[in-house]
Amino acid sequence: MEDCQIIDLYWQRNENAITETDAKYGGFCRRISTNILHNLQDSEECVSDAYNRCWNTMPPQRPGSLRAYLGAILRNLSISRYRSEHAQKRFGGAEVLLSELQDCIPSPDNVQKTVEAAELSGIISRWLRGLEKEERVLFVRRYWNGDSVKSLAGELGLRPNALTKRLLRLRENLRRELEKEGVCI
Amino acid sequence: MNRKADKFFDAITLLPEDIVEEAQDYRFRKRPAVWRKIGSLAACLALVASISLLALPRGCGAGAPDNGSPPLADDCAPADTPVYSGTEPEAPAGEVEKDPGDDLLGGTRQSQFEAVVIETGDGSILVESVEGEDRAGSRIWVKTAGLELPELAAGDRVRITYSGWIRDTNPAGIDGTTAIERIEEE
Repeated sequence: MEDCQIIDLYWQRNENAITETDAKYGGFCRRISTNILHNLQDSEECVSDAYNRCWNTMPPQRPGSLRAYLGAILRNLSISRYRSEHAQKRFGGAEVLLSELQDCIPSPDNVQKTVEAAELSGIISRWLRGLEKEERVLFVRRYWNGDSVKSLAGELGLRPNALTKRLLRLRENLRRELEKEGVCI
Repeated sequence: MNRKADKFFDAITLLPEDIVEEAQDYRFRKRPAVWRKIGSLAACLALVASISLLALPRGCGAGAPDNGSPPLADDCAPADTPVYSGTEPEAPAGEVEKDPGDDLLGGTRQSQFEAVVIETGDGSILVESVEGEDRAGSRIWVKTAGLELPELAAGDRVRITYSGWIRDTNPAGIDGTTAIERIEEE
């Protein structure tokens, strides 16, 4: 079923909307959540919550891409669960992603203004659009999808160490871009 | 948890749908792993080595003649023993037509040359190739064991048919003799 037909079901308040969403994007949703939480039970609960959130937000929302919309909801739900349950513990998934993202934080010496997440997202989007497609996809798959370095390296035919260096260069490139913009996180 | 990294995480969550969507179905161009490149190279080298081994003369382990004539070095000779030069003799006139594939084996193609007998022994004869032949004036030990020979004496002119290579020893040597005919002087 096409995304627009599934969204129509939500708008018609037809409960098949959730069944169809799960049939089409269930695997994708579980992967996004598991990449952050590294816990199947927690991920399953987040996926159910994401479907409820879709049910409650459509209408009035009518996303252009149901997959991207679901993914964003899942990232928010999963990171919230992570923050509430694992604030004091070292933890896999999100812990690793967050520690890598610290490389992108600009040096305070170059800071002129502090930005919020939405504005920062706009800057990152512009930076991403200026990259080669493969680099852009790689960044999104690693930091939006949360795909592991090992699985991405397998897809690219690279050793994980080589991919780690490539990702580091990408993060440093983003940090320089943010410093050029003079923003503070 | 680092609040700044959290903000980054949230900012990435807010990336536009088109950028997210583009990444989901993208198939990376897979680079061949380094070990595969090395494996391919090794396979090529193994193939070249196999062909080279096939091109060498066969019959490793052939013994030296027991008739007092100079020993004929075999393929497994120690390093200080003269070895084949690897150059196949030019085929003289009257060369026997053979399957071109024989060249690859290097041991079944037949060639002929004319020579004068210098010395006869039991199992081999020493000859000197005549003018107009390849290696004209060269002395060559020719193995005769197992062949039906005409009666030969020093000074006789003979036509020697052989297969395989001429050993680049001094004098040179031929192991793969297939026929020796005496040429009657007119």
